[in-house]
Amino acid sequence: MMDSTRLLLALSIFWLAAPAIHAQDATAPKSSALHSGFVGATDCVKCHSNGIATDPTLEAVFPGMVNDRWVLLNEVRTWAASDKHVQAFTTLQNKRSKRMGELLGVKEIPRDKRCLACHTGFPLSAMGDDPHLMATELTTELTVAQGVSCEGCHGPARSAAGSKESWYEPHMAKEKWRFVSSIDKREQFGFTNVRSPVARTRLCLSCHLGNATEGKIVTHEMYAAGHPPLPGFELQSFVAQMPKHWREFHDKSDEVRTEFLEKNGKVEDVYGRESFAIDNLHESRNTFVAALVSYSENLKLSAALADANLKTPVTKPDWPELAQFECFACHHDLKDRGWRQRRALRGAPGRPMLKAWPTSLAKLALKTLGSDPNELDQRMQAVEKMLSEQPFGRRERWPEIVKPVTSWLDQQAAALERKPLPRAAGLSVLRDLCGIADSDLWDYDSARQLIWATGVLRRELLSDRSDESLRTRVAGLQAEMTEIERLVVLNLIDGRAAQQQLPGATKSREVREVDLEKTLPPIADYDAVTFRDRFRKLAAKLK
Amino acid sequence: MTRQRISFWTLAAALAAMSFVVSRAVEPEPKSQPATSHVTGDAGEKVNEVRRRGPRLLGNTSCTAAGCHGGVRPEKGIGGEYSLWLQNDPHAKAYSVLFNELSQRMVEQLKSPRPAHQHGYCLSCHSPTANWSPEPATFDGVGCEQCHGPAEQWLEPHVHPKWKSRLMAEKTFLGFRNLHDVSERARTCVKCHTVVKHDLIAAGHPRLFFEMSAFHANLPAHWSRESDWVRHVPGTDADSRQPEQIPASELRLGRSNFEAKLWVSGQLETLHFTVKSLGFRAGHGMKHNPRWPWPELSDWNCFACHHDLKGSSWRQARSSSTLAIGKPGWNSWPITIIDFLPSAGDEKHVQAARESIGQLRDLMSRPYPLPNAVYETARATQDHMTYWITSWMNQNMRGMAISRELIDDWLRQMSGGEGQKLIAENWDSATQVYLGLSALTPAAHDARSDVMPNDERHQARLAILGSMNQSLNFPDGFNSPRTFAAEQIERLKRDLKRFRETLEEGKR
Repeated sequence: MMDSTRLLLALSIFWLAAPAIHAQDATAPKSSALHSGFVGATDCVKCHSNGIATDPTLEAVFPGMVNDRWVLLNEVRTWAASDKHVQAFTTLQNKRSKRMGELLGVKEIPRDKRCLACHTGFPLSAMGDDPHLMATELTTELTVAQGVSCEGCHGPARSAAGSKESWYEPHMAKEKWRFVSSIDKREQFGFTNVRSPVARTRLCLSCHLGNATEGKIVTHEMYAAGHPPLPGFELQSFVAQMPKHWREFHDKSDEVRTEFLEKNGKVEDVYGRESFAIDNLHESRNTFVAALVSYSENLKLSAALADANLKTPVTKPDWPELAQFECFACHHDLKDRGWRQRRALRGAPGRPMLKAWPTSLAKLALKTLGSDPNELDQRMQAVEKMLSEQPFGRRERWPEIVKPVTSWLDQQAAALERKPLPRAAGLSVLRDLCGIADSDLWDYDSARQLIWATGVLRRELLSDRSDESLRTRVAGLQAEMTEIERLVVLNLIDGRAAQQQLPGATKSREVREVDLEKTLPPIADYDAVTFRDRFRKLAAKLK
Repeated sequence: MTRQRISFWTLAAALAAMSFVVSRAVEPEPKSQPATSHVTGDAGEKVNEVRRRGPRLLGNTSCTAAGCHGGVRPEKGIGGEYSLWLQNDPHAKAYSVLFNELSQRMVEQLKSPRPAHQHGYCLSCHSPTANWSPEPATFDGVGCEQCHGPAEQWLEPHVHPKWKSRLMAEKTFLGFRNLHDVSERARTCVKCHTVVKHDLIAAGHPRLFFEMSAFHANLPAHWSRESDWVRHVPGTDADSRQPEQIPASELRLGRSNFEAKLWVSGQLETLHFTVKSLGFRAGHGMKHNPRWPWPELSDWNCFACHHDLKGSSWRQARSSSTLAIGKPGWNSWPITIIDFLPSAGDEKHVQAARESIGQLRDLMSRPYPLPNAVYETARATQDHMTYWITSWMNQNMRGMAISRELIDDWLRQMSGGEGQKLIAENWDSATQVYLGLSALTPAAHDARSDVMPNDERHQARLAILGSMNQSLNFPDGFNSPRTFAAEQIERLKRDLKRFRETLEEGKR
């Protein structure tokens, strides 16, 4: 084991001529402020960018070290080249961020903890004791400029003082590390369980929706000052656009999968042995898992922001935090006979609503699981009643009213991630999606959830070579799908070309920044009736 | 009576009402004495009882006899008021709209157990008679007594020939409203035209934004507009002369005075009622009805939230906004003009009122305004404003004229730097500036005896106002200022600057 570790290290140094960070780490004083245990992407790049898998020369010299069937080993390259997370920090230096700073009266946006909570991959606890600004001396040490890097999702690689053992060293022992169960990796080494769709969704949502205890809160002030609206989150579509720098377990070879199941003794590993089944519409199932998690997390965040006793690492926004409610329920020009007034209303009219997109797929997710979808309505009655009593609901009652619903949703999500969605059910789920689209006049973000979910399922069915007739049938929906997809912006990567430069870097790089001129007008122009009608056409074709 | 007999108006209701009036008219008639003597004896007891429970409404039918106000020729003097109202005045439809499709949908959305025409909340403005009358609903809409006062006590003396010679103080003692007074007139309107819950607006009720001069001008007058002007001819005893006895130049001065005062009164009363309603809801409402919405979203600027989000927003580009970023702002509609309004000699309270309104504005500029603080501040504001309005009314009662210089000064202020700022603030403020200029421009013109109606500068101002109107209009199919953005604001600012220039030319 040690041999291979050393070998790997040697290789990294050989290839990249990277500075000997390890030596530095060993001698670096462990100041009280920096006990975070982060290595930064600068260390990961040594192994995870080399692409050895495709280098025949090296394969000959280092047999077994290359052509790894388990990992791609080009992860950092993919991330650096195409993943938007790499721009998370540099974006704080652009024109829009500057204007936001002016409007908010924030002098140093790139040091402000409220921004850094999401715009870097490091927790606020690692950024010094000042409640508002990150300690200057930590800026370089934490490599915040690399945005949301490896450890933002995978967990701190070095052991924080007095806590778990680090995963940095152990994970280099490739063979051994592989067959440690995901649960042990998390509990003993602090390596995040990114295999579980539930855990993965929660991780993404902590920024893409918000997490009050982690200080990740996009406030209404930030939006008003120019922060782009957070789009509704759909796990599989977001992952696809990241783009993926990994192979899902079901994408790996039979050989690898068999080996894993044989050598990994813990049946409960990851999210259940049964979910490794091949007859599973993995992606669609994950979409539904994520839908339940989103529903739950959104309620939890609302409750957390209403909870007067909750401690947050940044100044907690005053209640009610407007950003927690549906943006476009208020933010729309008032149309005569607009579609909004034609909707079947759930609560009292004129009251701020909870975000709608996390709810759009939940019932179908429950149906997929075999639970009663109407139970959600029943459980939500108390929440809706509380929300109808007063605008923004009754602050003091938020936490207690929401708790039973979120606990139940979490159970459902945990059960669903262990339950395969058989391919044979694909077509009926597709029909169900059409049914959901027809069941209400959906707002823009919810409509996009439905389109994304339909797209995920469709792609998955198309990739199944075992049933040609089904493939042909699904392929025949192309025209209808295109018509539907025109109604919303699905590509979140595309944007305005811009130059961004890392602090201290000599070269800038071209990136795509969010272009609100492209993303906002479709929201204003969106018409729920058109969306419903186009989905009806799709449904007709599926009959 | 003769007219009644020869009338072909044989509506049963009208006749019934007439017989009611006649029967009451033959009762012993105590009105030869001053009104104050009512407080003694049997009559005094009745007055006290009425005071306790409030005078009753008798319904339109008490007024609509052909020989009284139900005549068929409304255009000539007294006699046709009711007919004119019934045919042309939107208030006459206030009750019937409660049956239309929109009202039905609203009731559905609000999950009301009762239809709109039986719902106390709706009726309180749409047909108060039906709501409060002990008799079965009379379906009047906003009828005679809504503005002129509940007639229980004044109907009887009103039909007496001596009514006209009575002092206004006597009439008002009996519950007859003194609508000759511009403040009282505005106060009458604002009760219904100022506040409506956001719940109702969301369910389909139109948003309310009231500006006295514009509404007054658009109301089909069932009274003589000239008589309004006559009462405001400087130096005249209001009722002593008929319009035709007054020279045109004097009448124009009267019109100028009346219109200028109406605008000021409308602003003061709208703000006063807004603050009163706010304070009531923050205090009493919160304490006694936990289901009273708080925060009440209609206390905030509608279009601060209700606008499509744009990539490059003028809101984010503006540099001088008084609003905190991302916070709701207290409905600026009624407070826009406050700095321009005359203090009527009561500097102390006016200053205090302005300050406490500033405090209220701060308190309201957060997503959850603290009810207790709002209640306290609103109460203080209301008190200061009461003094302010009283001084203003006293000044008017003393026959104080609004001078040509003062009107010009208002126009100059509103079209100057302050006005420029307001226009850039939001649609509501810009519209208030526009409406203020629209109300005062004719008044300024009328105040000048040295210019003809086709005066060039006046015509130029009217043209500029027309252009401003274009910029402020809602586009077709929309109920919000969708197009109000940087470009329109620039255009409005240019128009305002041109307006200001016409005033400077006038000065030279």
